[in-house]
Formats: sequence, structure tokens, C-alpha cells
Amino acid sequence: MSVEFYLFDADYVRRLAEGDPATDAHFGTYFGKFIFLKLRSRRVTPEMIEDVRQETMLRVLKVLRQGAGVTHPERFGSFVNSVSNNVLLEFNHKNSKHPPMDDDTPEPFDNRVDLDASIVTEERKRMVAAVLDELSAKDREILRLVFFEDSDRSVICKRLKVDLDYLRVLLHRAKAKFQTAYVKKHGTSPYAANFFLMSILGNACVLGLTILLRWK
Amino acid sequence: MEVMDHETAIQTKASERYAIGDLSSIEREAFEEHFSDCTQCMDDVSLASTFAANAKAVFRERAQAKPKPSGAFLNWLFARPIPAFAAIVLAAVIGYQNMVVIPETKAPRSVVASVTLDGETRAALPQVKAADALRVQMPFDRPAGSANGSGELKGSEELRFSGELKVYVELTDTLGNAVSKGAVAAPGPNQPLDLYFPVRLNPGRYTVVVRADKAGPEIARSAFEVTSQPAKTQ
Repeated sequence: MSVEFYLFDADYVRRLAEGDPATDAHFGTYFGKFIFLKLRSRRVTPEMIEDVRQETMLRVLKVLRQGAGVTHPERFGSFVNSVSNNVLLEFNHKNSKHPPMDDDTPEPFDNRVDLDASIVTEERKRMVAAVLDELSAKDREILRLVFFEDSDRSVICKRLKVDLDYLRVLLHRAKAKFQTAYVKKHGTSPYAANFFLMSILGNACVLGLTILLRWK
Repeated sequence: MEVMDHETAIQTKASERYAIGDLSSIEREAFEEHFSDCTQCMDDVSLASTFAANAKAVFRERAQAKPKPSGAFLNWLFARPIPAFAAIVLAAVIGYQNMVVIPETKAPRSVVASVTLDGETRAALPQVKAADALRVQMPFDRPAGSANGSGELKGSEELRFSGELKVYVELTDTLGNAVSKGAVAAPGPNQPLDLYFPVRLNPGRYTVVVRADKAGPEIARSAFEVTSQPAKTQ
């Protein structure tokens, strides 16, 4: 299911509260993807991502179907984001053997797990490789330092005598070329196909949670 | 919590920065607050993240696929056998020179006793042992009329280096082949010509010829014999 432009409003929230299958499916796909991206940026393990996603959706559906609902349906996404923040914080505290950290403390990274396994495919790698090969040697080296070496951005800029804006524009153009190549071949953007599995999991999760909430 | 507006997200390229972890924690949370409600930005983040993840995988594979230096050297050798063979031979020669020849030349040696050659008038030639280094002394008379008022040799201007007068010396074997040759400093008046030849000679008869210059007139000539037996006392 594609997650094309979709506005949240009172009607969407009402349909979700009533268990409308299409809205349930959209909710599972959209926020499954959102939580994945959010937790990927924090390098949370895939297992924990799945746990946080299920718990977040369960709490949101509980609020809608058994609780007071949401006061600002037009900001429903923001509401789900807050719930996921709370869930993540609780999971972090529960999993930690140490005293709770301040909110400002950066999350510890676990570099042993491959967070990107679900979005890396051979075909995409070929397309990205083609995009990279079209770049100048200098631009390719910049991206290599960013993605592979994970070097400090200011160090990269100083070393290759570019500014941060150049780096961002370079990444933006490379990303756009990748999208063009993908759309040309598949007729759809990679993010639509990206979360196909996540969509299935998300929908199954919402269906299960719906049944669970009704049974209770 | 602050929420980033859509315009700011576009202008600051927040999607790309989010995908590569280039936002501060405050910016990141503000942007998450925005794209949780904005499908366009979420798709943009998704695309940037997909590109970043696959680019990282591509660079990782390329780094792993780079041949090791030793493999590259072997590939070069097998791809170009003739230059490779020449390079190996050259390396062996240079190695031999550096490890054997040059150290030998720098090693201390005993002074070699000189053999006096007194021209070709003697019936019995002076003898030199084959294994010995060759150092000879021979009389050096400036021919009558060949010296000018300052005692210099005529016809040897091309052998004058840095003001020092030179003569041309040639060591030849029985067949007349030059074994060693070159210019040496001429001795002073009433001094013998003292020569050292850095060669090992086989048994046989040899002749030392001294000329004013390479193609000039012969000034002196002496013969000697190299034997495999210890040199006889003269």
C-alpha cells in the first residue's frame, strides 16, 4: 500500500477509532515506517524497534478506542510521536542496568547490528553504485567519508575544502538521481516499496491489536 | 517541544541531514515532530535513508573488493612476464652489488708489493702471480725534445685535467687486446710511473704501453708475465 500524501483530521481519527480496515492499514504502514526511521536514526536494534512499534500502536489504539481520544486530530502524527517517545524512554530505562539518564544524554549506539538490512537490496545497491559512479571523484570521496567512514562532517569539509551546504546539496542531488533511476525502472518511488514488509507487519500488528482490544 | 515548519525543513535540507545524523538532538526532535504529520517529508526521509544505507553497503563492498597489495604485485608480474623478469634480474644485480661487490671494495686490504718493469730489453720477463693484484712501477723518461721549457709533454693537452698532466696507459694481453686502459697522472721529473690495475689476470704475457695521449706517440713500453706459480724473486 502506498503512503502518498495523507492529511490527518477528525474523520481519519474517527475511522481509526471505529476500526475501519483501510484506515487501520494506513495507520499500521505509515506509523510503522515513521517509528522505523525515528529509531534507525538512534541506532536502536531491530528487535527493539519492533517492540516499540507494537507498544506504541497498542497505546494509541487504546486511547482512541477505550480512552478519551485525541484533542487535536489534525496533529495526530505528533500525538503518535509523543507516545513513541514515552515508550522508547520506558524501554531504555527498563533495559538499562544503570540509573536513568538525563533526557539530553545521547542514546548509546550499538554498532554490532545491521539496522539497514531491511532497506538494502542488490538492485538498489546497483542503482546507487551507478549514481555514485556518475559523480566526480571528489564528490564520491565526500560521500564515502560520510557514509562509510562516518567521519566528522567538519573534518570532511576541511579536508576536501567544501562547506556544509555543499555536502548537503551533494547528498540531495545524489538522492534525487537515485529516485529518478528507481522511478524510471519501477514506476514508483523506493519508499513505497521500501516498507512493503513493514506495511504487512504493521497491518498484521494493528489487526492483532484491534482483536485484542475488542476481546478485552 | 518545538515543531519545525515545512519551509524550514525544505530549506535546511532536514531530510538529508536527518538521514546522515547531521541534526542536533533539538533539531532532530523538532523535525520528527514535523514529519510525523507530513507525508512528503517522511517520504523524503525514507528516500534519503534508503540511499544512505545502500551507499554505505556499496562503499563497504568496494572496500572489501580492493585487491591486497601483494595480489596486485603478483598480477602485475604474471601479466607482464618479460618486464617482470627484467625487473627481477635488475633487482638481483643491484642486490649483489650492494651486498657483495661494494662491501668488498670498501674492505681493508694489504699493500701490494710492486713489480718493477724495466723495458723490453731483458730476456727474462718479470713475473706476477695470477691471484695477486697488479701493481707495477716502470721508468718514465720524457723523450728528448718532447718536453718544453716548463717540463710539460707535447701532444697531451687534451689529457690535462685541472692543471694536472696526464698520460694514457694501456694494458694489453698477448693478442693485443686491451685489458685495462685509461689516463693517469704523469709522475714528476725523475720519478717512476707507479700503476695499479684493479684486474685479476689469467696466466700469460702482458704489455704495459704508455702514451702521451690516447692516440699520441708511445712514451714507454714494458712486458711482464703472469704465472700460476708463486712469483720468482727478481
